Amino acid sequence: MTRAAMPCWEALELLEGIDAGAITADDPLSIDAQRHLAECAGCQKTLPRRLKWNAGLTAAFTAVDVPAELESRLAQQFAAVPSTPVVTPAAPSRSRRRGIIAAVTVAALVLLVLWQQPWSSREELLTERTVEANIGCELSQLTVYTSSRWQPELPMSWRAFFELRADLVYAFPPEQSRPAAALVPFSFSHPSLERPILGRLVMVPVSRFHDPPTATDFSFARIGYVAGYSHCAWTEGKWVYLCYVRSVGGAEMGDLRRLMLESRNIL
Amino acid sequence: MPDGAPAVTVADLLHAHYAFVYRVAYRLSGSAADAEDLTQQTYLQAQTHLSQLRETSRSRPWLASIVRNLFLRARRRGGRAVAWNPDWEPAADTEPPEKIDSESLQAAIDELPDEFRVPLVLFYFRELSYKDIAAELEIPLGTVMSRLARAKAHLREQLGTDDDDAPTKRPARRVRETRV
Repeated sequence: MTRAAMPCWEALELLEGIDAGAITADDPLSIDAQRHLAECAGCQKTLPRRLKWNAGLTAAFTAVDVPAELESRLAQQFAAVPSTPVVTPAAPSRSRRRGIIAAVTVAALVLLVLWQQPWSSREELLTERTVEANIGCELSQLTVYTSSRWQPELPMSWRAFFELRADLVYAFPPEQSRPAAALVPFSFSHPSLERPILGRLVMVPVSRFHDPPTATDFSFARIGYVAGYSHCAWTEGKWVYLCYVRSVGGAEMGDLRRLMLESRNIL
Repeated sequence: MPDGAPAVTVADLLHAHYAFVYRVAYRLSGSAADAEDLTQQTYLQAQTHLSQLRETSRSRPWLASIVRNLFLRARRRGGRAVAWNPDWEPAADTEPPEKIDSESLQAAIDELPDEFRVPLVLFYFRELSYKDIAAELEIPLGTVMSRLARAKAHLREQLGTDDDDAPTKRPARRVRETRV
């Protein structure tokens, strides 16, 4: 495939990248950039200055004084944490100076939660494995989701494309007296797609999910595959979202995300 | 972790990389207190998700990824926005100063929106390739390079001297942060 002529900014960025080890010199892009350099007097003049900049910036970026005894402070904190993983990562206090206030606040919140939800301590947290095991269930097995406490809301990047219809939000997993999550089936159509992408979005309050994912946005969530589905999970605000898309070729989740994120530019 | 690979503990990661984690956190957040909190949270996350670390040689990129996620999550919660003109075009290249002042650098970084700041920090800590950054941020390689090019141009404009004879660097332009 023939590449269009590489612009100077891109060639310079790549040449800086080779110098910084961000790309290998034998990468096809690097070869294009070196070819550009051989023919461009402007880049030949600019590159030495850019490399000097990068050397200075690299040194300056890492020139951050690390607080004395940070390591021992952290080590002490971790020595006090149980070695078995906690169910949900405990939020550390904002700083040691505010440690006491935070401890009191956490204690107050625990008391408040226990007072408001006496059943919550008996309730098991939902796991990704449970979601996966039930994601293919028949919708007829599910009841309409109702909760006065947790009102499901769509992820931010989905709101331009979907609206939640209360009658299509189901309690999930099936056959639980107090379901932990809400499930909504969806269909996403786009002119570039041969057929609509069909999927299910599961919404779980963070506090009711075991080991919330670290990704904080649909666009950052890693895509995985289980039988018949591609899936990804992320934590956004007070919700954990788990998206499952029926997968034939494996590209459906990537397509969904790309079209959702790119379409914002068209709009 | 693959069979036979030595088991790494959070204590090992802490001892080997705490300074690296703190420095990345500082450059992202621009504050010593936030950097310390982020470092602490990073190791809490690392402890919970340690099984996800497949190769110990990738510990730094893995920790950097956790810092980045935590930083962006905290940012979203805090609702901080930075004034930034998307149509801004960099001026012609300036000369680098003899030594780049760390505080001026931070002031220039603080002016960048997160989508420019994050790849910039990941690039200059030299733990991730362009492809790694693209995979990490789940954006195309070309987008990584264009964001880096613009972010670097911003730094050069803020930190550079106008010509070889200029005795001092230009002070970094301050842009007020807004909380929304």
